[in-house]
Amino acid sequence: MSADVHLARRPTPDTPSPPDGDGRAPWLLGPALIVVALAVLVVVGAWAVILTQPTTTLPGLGVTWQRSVDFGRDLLGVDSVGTPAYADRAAWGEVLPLAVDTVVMSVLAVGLAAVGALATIGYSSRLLTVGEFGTHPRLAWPLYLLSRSMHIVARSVPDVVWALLIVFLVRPGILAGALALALHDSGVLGRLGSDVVDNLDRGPLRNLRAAGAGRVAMVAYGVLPQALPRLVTFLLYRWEVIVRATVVVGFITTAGLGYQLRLDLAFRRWTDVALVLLVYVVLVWGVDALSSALRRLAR
Amino acid sequence: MTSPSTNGAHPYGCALEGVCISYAGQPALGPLDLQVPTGQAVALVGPSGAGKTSLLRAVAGQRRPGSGRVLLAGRDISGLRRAELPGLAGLMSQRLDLIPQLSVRHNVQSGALGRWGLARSLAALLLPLEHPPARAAARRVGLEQLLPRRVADLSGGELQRVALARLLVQDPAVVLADEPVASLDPARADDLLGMMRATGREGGRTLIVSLHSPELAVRHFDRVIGLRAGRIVFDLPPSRVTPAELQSLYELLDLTPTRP
Amino acid sequence: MSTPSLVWVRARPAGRSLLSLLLVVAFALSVLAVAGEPVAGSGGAKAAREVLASLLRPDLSLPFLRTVAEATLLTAAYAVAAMTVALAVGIPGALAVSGVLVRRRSARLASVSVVRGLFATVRAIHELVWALLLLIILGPNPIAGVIAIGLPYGATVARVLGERLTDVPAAPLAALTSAGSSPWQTLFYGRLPLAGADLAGYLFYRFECAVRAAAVLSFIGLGGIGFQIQIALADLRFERVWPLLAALLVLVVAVDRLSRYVREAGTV
Ligand SMILES: Nc1ncnc2c1ncn2[C@@H]1O[C@H](COP(=O)(O)OP(=O)(O)OP(=O)(O)O)[C@@H](O)[C@H]1O
Ligand SMILES: [Mg+2]
Repeated sequence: MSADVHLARRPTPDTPSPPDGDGRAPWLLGPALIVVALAVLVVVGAWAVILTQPTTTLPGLGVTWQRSVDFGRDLLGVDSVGTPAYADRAAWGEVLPLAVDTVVMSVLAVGLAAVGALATIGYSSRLLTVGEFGTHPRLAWPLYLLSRSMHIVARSVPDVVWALLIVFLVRPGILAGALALALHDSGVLGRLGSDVVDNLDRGPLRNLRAAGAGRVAMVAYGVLPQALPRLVTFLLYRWEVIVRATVVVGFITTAGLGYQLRLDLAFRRWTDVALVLLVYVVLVWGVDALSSALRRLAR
Repeated sequence: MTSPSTNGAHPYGCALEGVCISYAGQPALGPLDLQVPTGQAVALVGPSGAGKTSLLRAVAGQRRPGSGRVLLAGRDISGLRRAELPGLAGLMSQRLDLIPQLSVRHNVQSGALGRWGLARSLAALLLPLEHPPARAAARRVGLEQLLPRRVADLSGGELQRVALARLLVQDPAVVLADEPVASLDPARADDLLGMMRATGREGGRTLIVSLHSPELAVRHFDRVIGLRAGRIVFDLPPSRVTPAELQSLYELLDLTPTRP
Repeated sequence: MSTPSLVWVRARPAGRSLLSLLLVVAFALSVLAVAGEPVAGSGGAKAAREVLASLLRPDLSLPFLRTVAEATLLTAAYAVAAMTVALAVGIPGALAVSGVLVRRRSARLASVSVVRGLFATVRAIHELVWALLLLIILGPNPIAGVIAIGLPYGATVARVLGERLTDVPAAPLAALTSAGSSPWQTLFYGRLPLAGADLAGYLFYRFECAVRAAAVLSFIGLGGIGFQIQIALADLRFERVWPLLAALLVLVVAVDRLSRYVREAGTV
């Protein structure tokens, strides 16, 4: 049985396109090789660009390890005098309110993003504008294209960049951060939401229309009951993502744990850095757990 | 490549000794004794819930009996090494269990995985390579034209034949099939059973097939076993299966109000 | 006696209404928490007007467009390099986390829980926070940026990939196993095709996220689109911001298109 895999004769006599024209090439094969070759080229090219940057140095393993250990010791405050921050009540008393700020910022961001997305999903879904159940014949296309592009723009720009722009317009703080996060996320949610609506089961909608339902009734009885539970699930997932990002955006909008981290890093208060990171990780885990508990409630 | 049964001396392809199976304490099968001579074609008939699937899964080594022994070619199935089982018995399950995203070719070839190392399996999957026995099996069941097609795009009857071809490539001495014709029209059903019979005969394979149609059982098999509530009710050559026997096999147990 | 056209009945399942209520209350509380804060930014209405006005006259001069192109290329390179790290971490990670290659259940549990805890920690920290930490260890080195994105993304890929490889229908896998297929063979002939194109689509989605993350590596002083945006903003040259954002948009949309294409090619 040593040679029982043979090269298939090419072109194989058994591959005429079937009469119904449904003979899609099997996934994984043939053309995939070209794709793999292209991917390899792209990866090699990318690394070439990275490695030829003027500031690139390939850190030796030994040195890196030594520095990591040193950094770890700094964080733990092994060599420093005085109580490390994470063992200091006063430091906790300062950081915990910032954690609350961070949570407020994330909830505000999710809420605003949800409002933004819900207000536009009706227009960015193909089904309800230019598709089978669209009604405004004249405005359908412009509305659809406009809300789609709004979602694309909002989603493509990272929250951090939105924050950089927003601090010019809104006073830095919790609200500015929440707005930046919400702007990016309304694009993400809007996209997900319109996909959900476009993939709805059409049967119930057709029944409703046949029963004479108007546009509002159709949305209320046909679209929302099907789509809302999934949207709420997405919302909770996005909350997990946003909480992680809140720290980074807070860096720029000078609010919450992020700003504290920035100051502690700048002043090389390593054990304070450790404390903030600890609170951050615990917060993220807490939100993950809460979100999955709430998602179970939604089911 | 010789199938173990063609020159295997053992007279019984498969034998059950006092086999009992229960689910969560609820007995579903047995105690059951059964001997199937090598090369025989057996049909299992019986009402829903009779234990046909349970019996086939026990013979295929997919469910360990609560008590009793299953012997394949005279060897206790519980003493076999993992690698030996695929050559001794293979089951085509009721749901077929193919991989819809892969082509017919790869599904059929996956019957050979037990004999292949990882490198060869990967080569056969990722490169335009072909396993000649897989083509032969596909040709045997009339699927050669469909080798490059995705299984997801096939009809019910074609799927059934893909599963059969995969089993032919696996080449077990005992071929087991659980209601292989349940979703086929009468002509296709006849065709598939005839094909199973023929391929069984060619390889000297033992065949055990569960069916819902006693008619097909009588037409295509050497032996018909009636199963009801986990017990063998009759065990006859097809010529001696009478309508009365079948009537009592399928009649609803109780609850039918008797007329005074 | 006439029948009323509407009567009260018991409401929807309690869990869902409770959840809706909770979400609305949480949002309302968060609004109240910031309600007292002043809103207007440093620049006020004047800055707003300038920002908007600049939209009408974006800087499209040739030298600047060159800068934009270079920054875009660099950002794309960071994203691709980061994804290779993410896959290098995530694929073995997924196999370890899901335990799909281990036959014995006890061994599976042990390997799974240890790796899971480790990855959960790595994943909890945002890629830019990783960047800040790695900056301290490696300095403002592009390698630090690549690892900063690749590491947490790898941990995420490990979880999602692991979940998708485990959540496939069990029966076809059992059929393969009974045909003598080993766990590795089952991975390639069963789990991967069954998890299917969705999986590839997910990886492209990660790639899209990597592009956005790479764009803001200016956080640790590395070049790319974000760096150019920061420079433009610092010089108050808003007209330079828009072409940069447009380039980022094109990059993200391109990856998104690719992801859709891959998903559809594999599932239809
Ligand atoms: N996994 C299981 N868990 C619990 N009970 C089971 C299980 N599988 C089968 N049973 C029970 O065992 C009995 C025999 O089932 P089996 O599937 O073997 O019958 P069958 O003859 O194949 O029926 P059918 O013709 O409907 O496929 C039935 O009462 C069934 O409810
Ligand atoms: Mg059955």
